[in-house]
Amino acid sequence: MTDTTITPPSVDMHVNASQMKISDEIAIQIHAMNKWYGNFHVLRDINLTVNRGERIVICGPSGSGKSTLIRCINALEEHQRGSITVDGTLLSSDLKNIDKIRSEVGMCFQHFNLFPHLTILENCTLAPIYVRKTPKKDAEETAMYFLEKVKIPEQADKYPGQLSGGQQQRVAIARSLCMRPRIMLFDEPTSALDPEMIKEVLDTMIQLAEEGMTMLCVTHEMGFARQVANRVIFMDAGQIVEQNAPEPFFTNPQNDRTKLFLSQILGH
Amino acid sequence: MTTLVDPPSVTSTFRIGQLLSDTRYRSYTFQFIALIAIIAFLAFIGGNLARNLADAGLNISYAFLGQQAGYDISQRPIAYTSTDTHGRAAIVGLMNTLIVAFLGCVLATILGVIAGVLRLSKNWLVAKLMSFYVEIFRNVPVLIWILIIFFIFTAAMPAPRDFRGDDPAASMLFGAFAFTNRGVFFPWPIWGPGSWVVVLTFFASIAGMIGYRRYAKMKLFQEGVMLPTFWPSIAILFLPAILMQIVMGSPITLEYPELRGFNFQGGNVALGSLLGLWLALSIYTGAFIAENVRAGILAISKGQTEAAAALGLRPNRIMSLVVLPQALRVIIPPLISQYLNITKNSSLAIAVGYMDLTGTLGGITLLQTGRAIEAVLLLMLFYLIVSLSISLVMNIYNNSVKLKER
Amino acid sequence: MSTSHTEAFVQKAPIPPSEPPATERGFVKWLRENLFSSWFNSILTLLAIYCIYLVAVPAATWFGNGVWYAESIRDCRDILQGQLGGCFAVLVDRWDHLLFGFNYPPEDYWRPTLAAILLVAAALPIMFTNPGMMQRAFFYAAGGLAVFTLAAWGLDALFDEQPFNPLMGFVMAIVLGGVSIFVPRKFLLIYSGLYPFIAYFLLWGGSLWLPLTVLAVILATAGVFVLVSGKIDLEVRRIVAGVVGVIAAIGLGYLLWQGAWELIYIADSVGTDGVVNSITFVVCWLLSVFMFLFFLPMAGFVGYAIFNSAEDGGLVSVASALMFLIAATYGIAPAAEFLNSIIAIELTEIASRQMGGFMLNMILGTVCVALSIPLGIVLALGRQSNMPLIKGVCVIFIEFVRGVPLITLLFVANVMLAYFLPPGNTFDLILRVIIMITMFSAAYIAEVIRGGLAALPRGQYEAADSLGLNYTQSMQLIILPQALKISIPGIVNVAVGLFKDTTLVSVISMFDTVGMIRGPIQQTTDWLGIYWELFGFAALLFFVVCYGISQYSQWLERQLATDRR
Repeated sequence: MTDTTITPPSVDMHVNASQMKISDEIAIQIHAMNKWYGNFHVLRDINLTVNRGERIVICGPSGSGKSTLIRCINALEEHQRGSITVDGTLLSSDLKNIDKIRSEVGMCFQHFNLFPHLTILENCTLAPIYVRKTPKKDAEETAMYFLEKVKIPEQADKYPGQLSGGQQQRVAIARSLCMRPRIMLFDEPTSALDPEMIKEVLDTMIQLAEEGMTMLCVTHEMGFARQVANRVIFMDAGQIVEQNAPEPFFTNPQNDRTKLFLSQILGH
Repeated sequence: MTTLVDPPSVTSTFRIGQLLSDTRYRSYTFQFIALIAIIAFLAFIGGNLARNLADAGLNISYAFLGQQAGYDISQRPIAYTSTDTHGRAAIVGLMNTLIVAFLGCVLATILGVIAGVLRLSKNWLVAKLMSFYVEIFRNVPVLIWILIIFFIFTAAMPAPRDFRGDDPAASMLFGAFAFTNRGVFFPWPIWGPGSWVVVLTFFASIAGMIGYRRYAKMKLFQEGVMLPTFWPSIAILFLPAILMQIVMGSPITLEYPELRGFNFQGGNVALGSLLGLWLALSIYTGAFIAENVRAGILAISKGQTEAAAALGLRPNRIMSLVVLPQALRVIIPPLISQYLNITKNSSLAIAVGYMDLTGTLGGITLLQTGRAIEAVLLLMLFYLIVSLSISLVMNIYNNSVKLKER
Repeated sequence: MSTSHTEAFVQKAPIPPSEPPATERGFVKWLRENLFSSWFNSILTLLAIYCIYLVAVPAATWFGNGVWYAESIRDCRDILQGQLGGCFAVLVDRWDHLLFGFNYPPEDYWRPTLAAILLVAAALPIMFTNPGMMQRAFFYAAGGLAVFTLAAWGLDALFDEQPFNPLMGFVMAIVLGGVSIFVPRKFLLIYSGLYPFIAYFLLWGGSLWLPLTVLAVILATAGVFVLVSGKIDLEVRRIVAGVVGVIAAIGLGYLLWQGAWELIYIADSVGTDGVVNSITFVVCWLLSVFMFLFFLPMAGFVGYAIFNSAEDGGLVSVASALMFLIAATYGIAPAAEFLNSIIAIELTEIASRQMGGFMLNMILGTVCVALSIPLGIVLALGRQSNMPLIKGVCVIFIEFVRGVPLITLLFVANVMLAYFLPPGNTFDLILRVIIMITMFSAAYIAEVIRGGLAALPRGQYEAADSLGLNYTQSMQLIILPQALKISIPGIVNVAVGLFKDTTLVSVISMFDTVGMIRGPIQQTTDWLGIYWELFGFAALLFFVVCYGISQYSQWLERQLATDRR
């Protein structure tokens, strides 16, 4: 089940944020973005600029709008005011625009959302074949490459239901990677997993981060945030309350709500 | 980090292609196209209709409902003769439909609940017997069942004359019920003077029973004393009315059917067509309801029973307080759609000559007046109204019992 | 005991399993537990035994005393001499009529029989996705057919002066058996796709070239679609898109123009007498003005959209395939006639109205279910749509059809539908009935599929979206395969219900099984007054088919429950 080949991340393996390259190029720019569900103001005046190669962890209490925020970035949710620019493409209501952004932004969900009626390999080749129009053989090669990368090439012909949760999430990551995205979004990728499976998924994500992928990650894995993120964002009630580099964020939070939140999740 | 550039404005010049590619306009475009297509489709259909009617020299008119019907209806809940209008015939048919549908729903529910519960019985033989009933009836067309059971009530029953003589070929059941090929004759109450007192007493007893149960519950909640409810309820319900009947000198009497000449007189009669249709619909639908009931009880997880038992509740209380309220939530929606099915299937009355709405409006009236379109549309309208009202009730019920969840 | 809490314990040897006590085993225990566990249960058991006795003994006598050789019901009565006994001679006498109707030419009985056997072969690969399971099913079907043929041959030799030729039955049994061994499921699925054409040819006869040409046109249409959507260069596709766009615009414009005039015609013929007529008049005029205003922009826009889709190839491929199909339809009849004049392959033509008996039920059942599944999918998707107009139309259609009894829809087919079709159309009754029953079952199937769609987690839609699949792709590749799989048991239930409901056509004087019994058989003086035997036989026929299918559906449900998910 779990791969034992990867050594657990420890202090000496700690990847310092400064060691990873962050370019000056802007990957995502969110400007004065607002979103409402009916009368409920879920996202309030969000401003966020993500440079290429940045790894951002978003945390906050449930219902704070953090998932909604990253779902807005690939247009799974519509925002009503403000703008989102991804890789220089302004997210508008134009389908071609949306398609373009979605093919550049990969997304992993809390519940994996693998397609249960397709094999692992088919899951991975589906979008490249039908969206990117890649020839099937090439798509399969790419898929195997990424499946090896997430360390489950031997499961390629199985169905998602035959895999453990951790394996499924890694397949989901591989499936996104097959589209060669320049940005990856993670929506609580480990919260539906048993404790012993969390590590294997986080390892994959760390590996991805080391390769310089731009990542936005909604998670409560504070260890991961400390180790990988170069910026941690705390959201509450649809607003960005605080953002900072991990060290100062965890050791010296400024806002009272951040302090309360951190004391609650780190308190035990 | 580059400087924050102000993102370009979203509102740009409108291009015709945006009608298709922009999510803001796309759905309006499709709907507009669909609207045009629907109008065009209706135009062609309507044009055909107009042309065909003109060719046949017809028009659409509902005036025939006011014309004299000229045919008899043997089973009539309201006064009706052949000189009445087609409209009144349709109303008689409508009432006949509602009668058989209502009776069918009641009997089907009883049969279905019994069969469904017995199918889960620990008694192997009974459970198998009930499975047999369910499978046999579910897998054969209802029309065949209607015809078979109708046949039992007509051709297979003795004629009234068989009841005559010293050594009759047939005899009445309990001296009160005569099963003949002209229908089943049964006793019917005669409301003598003063019978309203008895009826009133009975209604008062119902109120009294409800009051007693309330009182018992209050007693339990406030003082922790549990009073017996079942037998006292029954006593409160029936005893006063029976006493009143005796005190008043039996104002309500039953009139028994009697053989006079070649037929039975007195009492009341249910025609073979009504009985056949009613029983067939009930038994057929009962098989489906049995499945629903079984599924509903099985749907309540064993954990619920165990949890209730662990709290120290006794089996019958587990049933009435924990399992049944949850099972009903599962059973009632399909049950109501079975009621809907009975109502719709009652239109098969036409196969046995029971004059329901399909037999009057959709049958003889249609044939006599030739007003096919009008008659069929009215027919559909009626069934639609019934179905939609039942669906409405179902939705209200569903919303009221929906589990409160986050 | 109190000390044991603190004492450490390590098991030295495991405890082996042992037999339960003697009172907990065997037949006696079974009897006690299942039949006589309490006094109440014992009473129930005795009651049940008594009921079985009451029904089974007369039924057995009735069946045992049955008369199989007789000319008429009077003969039967003479033979029975007042004893309880069935007059099964009617089944022997009217066997063919019960199965095929009284108008079907006897020398062609082999055709529907063969079609039925081939239907089994076409259905099995669809019913069993597991090749091993399918192989076994074929094997059983072959065995069953061989046994059945043998039995029928023997019985026929007993009863009939001209026993039928069992050759076809045995050959087909061997074929089915061979198929189970040699042919992989993939090829059988192709055969299943071809089956409708084979069945049409067998049942209705005429020239084989007609179904073949239809098939060719369908394949060619698919070919055009594939070609335009991907195989040709962008330059060529631009030209195709231009041409197709212009033709579509002209054709559509003409059609809408006609529609607008049609509305004026309706308004004129309705006139302005009375309130209803006046309202109709005004509405028709308004709509026609609307159509006159928009027919040109609409046609132009559709043409433009087709032209504009040259880049991605979506709309233009659909439009060109559709256009090809429409054009080719006109060529089907002449082409078939021409081919037949060169090499004539034909069977005697048999008109729809000649078909009857159980065959008619089977035809109506299979055709209508097959046609209503695609329609049901469309309706279900429409009902899920977030476009109010499309959703509204689908909801109204579904709720309307589900709200009225099938019999009223059959009345529509019988007396009303002809008014809505173009004057002088040649739709015969069976076709009109098929249209109405298909609409009927499509509404129910749509509701089943809607349930399947609703059962899919939202995440599946979102994952498809986030990968950049468009609506058609995500429906076709992700949503529908899963939703349909969940819906299969429900669809099968609808199919069983529909098959039973096909007996209702007897009410509009079609001679299906029930119609045959109530009409041509019971009305003859020979068999006047026979009920049990005939309806019992009809019930048995339906029971065998429906019970079989519903068992399959339950099996499928269990499979789905334990399936990988």
